Amino acid sequence: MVIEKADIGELPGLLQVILGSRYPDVRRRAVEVLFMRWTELDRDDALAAVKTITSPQLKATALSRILYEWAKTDAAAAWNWVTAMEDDPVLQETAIESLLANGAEKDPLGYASWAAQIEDPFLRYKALDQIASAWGRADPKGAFTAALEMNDPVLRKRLLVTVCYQDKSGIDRAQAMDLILQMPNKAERIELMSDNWIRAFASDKPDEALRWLVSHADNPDLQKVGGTLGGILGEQVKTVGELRAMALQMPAGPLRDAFSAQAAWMRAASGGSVQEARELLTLCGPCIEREFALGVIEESATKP
Amino acid sequence: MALNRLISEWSRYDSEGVLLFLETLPEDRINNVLSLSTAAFALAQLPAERVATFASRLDTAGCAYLAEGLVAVADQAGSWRNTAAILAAINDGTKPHQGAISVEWKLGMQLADIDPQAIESQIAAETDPAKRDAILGGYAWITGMGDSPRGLELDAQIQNRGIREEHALSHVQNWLESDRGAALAWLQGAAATQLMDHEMRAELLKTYGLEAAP
Repeated sequence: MVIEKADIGELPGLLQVILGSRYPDVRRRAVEVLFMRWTELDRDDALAAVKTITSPQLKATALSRILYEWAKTDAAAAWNWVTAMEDDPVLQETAIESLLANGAEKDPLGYASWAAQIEDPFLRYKALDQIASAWGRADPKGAFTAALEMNDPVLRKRLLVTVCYQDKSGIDRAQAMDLILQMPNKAERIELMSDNWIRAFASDKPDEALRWLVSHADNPDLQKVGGTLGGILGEQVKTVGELRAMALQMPAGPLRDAFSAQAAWMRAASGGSVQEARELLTLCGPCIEREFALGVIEESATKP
Repeated sequence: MALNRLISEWSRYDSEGVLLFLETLPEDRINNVLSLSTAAFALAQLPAERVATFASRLDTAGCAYLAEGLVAVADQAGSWRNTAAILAAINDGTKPHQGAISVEWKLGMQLADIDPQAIESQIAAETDPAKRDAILGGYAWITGMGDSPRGLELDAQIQNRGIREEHALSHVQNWLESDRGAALAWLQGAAATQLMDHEMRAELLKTYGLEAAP
């Protein structure tokens, strides 16, 4: 390819040609290749060329490529250059995110400690999010264990959310959920379980997710988790008979109510039989979940 | 809707293109709520002075919708330093406008998860009652969606009665879905009688075969 063999003197002209392309994907990919070459030949010249680009997205692509190459040989120097940037806060933040995305896993706690000192809450959040993402991908088990002991609530949450969706993490989701249930903050554990962990578990192994829930049916924290699982299975499971059998594995009360109401809701909302949804709802005692589900079912019944 | 989808997709990779496109829109289209809110993702990444120049063509409503969108994407796009400079330049956007969510409210929502201590300090320090209520409203709303008891405590501090009651109802409904026993106990207690009217409490408790104390 012409870019990969271009001389330094040809690069500014090639950049102009690329920036003039009508196709965004071509522009983005070609800018990456061009700046890889430019960094190879003269990094300082490449850094100066970034500033001639006006598109923030292409500027970020170019700088990320330079930093990616630079950090391989001297990450400290790359960081120094980025932290000294003063004239373009948008580019600087993209650069920080890029360096973290491609290196935070090497010393996550060190980077987290640095990020925690950032005054700007949005930049701090973006930095912690990148650290969690890099760490959670590189070492999901280690990240999970560390998260449970972590004081920073933002990093803890980002880590626990990131690792729960890692399919090949090697983490046993049932065991992990047992540990999350022991976290001290009730609101946090309920949110993590109902919004993320039970969803990931059910999408991977729905039968095991149900077994786990049933085996913890006496835990009062799982009402909302039961609702989430009911909603997922209400859409996935083929027959209403199977759903009934699942609900009946749970003791009468908030958990079964939440499960059957959400299953009935999703059954109706996803175009299933209204009659079946109503039948499922008979397993649900009087409660707010039942009222909400009833509203959806009756609305579905009026649709042609 | 099609225009909104186009801008949403376009904003991911071409801020300049989005701005140039918006600049070609006629006066009667440029203040479109959805377009401006969606385009904020693209505009947040452009230099503040360029966005401010564009915003000078917007009416008060347009500025308010743009400001709302900019704060909404502050945790994803651009940098807060740049966004704050844009907001400062489009002063009108920070004024309350019916239909748009105020910058204060949106900030309260955004910081609820990422820096609750900062937003609590801001609420404590805010001397303008309307702004204080707006920051608190956004903060309480998001907090109560994850942590109903804490959300209800915050709701109780909201001055605007309509907003306070609307929040309290949503948060207690949310609580009933996550911890029925605790929520029902709260509904029958003194804190609930101060925060919600009798009829609202009675209706919720009736669902569970219970009666509300007067």
